[in-house]
Amino acid sequence: MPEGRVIEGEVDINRIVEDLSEKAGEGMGAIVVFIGFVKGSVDGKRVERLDYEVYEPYTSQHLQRIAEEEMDEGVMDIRIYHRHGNLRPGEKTLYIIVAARGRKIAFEKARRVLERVKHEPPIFKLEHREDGDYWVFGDGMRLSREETLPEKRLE
Amino acid sequence: MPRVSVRYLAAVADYTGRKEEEFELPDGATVKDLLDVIREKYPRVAEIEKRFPLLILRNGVNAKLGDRLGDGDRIALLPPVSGGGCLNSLLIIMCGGARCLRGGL
Repeated sequence: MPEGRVIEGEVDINRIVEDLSEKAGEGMGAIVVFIGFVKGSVDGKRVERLDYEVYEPYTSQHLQRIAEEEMDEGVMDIRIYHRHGNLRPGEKTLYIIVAARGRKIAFEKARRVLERVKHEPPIFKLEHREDGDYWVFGDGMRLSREETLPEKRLE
Repeated sequence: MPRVSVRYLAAVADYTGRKEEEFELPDGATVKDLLDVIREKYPRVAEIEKRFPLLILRNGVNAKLGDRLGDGDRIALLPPVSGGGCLNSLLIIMCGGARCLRGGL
């Protein structure tokens, strides 16, 4: 069954692959696993931490909807898990697992799901770097928090 | 009189100085009416659209400025989303086996 949701910790990839293998049946020819990690360097600056903010339950609902909507011809199953909270470089942040009839469909579907996850659900990123904090919008556009934060602190 | 909760997400909360609050509006009030109230309360919000398009969700789905507010509605103001990105990635293959709406602020 397709599934998409926000998670806190890591997932057991082996367990998911086994689960997909058992449920997809004999027609399955490939499983593609995409794992995203927090980068340790951006624009030549060291990244100390990435804070992911989500808007639950709507973020999980949107991830679930993407998984269900992408279940078309030749696709046997889709799982999407996006972590939230404060993550450090090298930590896993996004998992996309696609089981399909063949490798071509599986690769293309994983790429399409990734693009939708990057652009659709309410997920926000604050990058803490050695040269300051930056909000990250869309495809890598950044805005220094020195420009957004008022003098007073958040309540 | 509808009472609604408003959530300011990510960078939007920097402009308002808080993450959430409640508003009580007159019967028949719309999303646009609510935005006008927010704009008046937080003049810095006017800076937002100079930086990025503001998105509006009503109970989790994209809102229209003309939508009438209902009691208990959950409104969210948010910047462009940024899920997944900033990543190094690992790809393994195993064989065999809010339409977004500009807020008008």
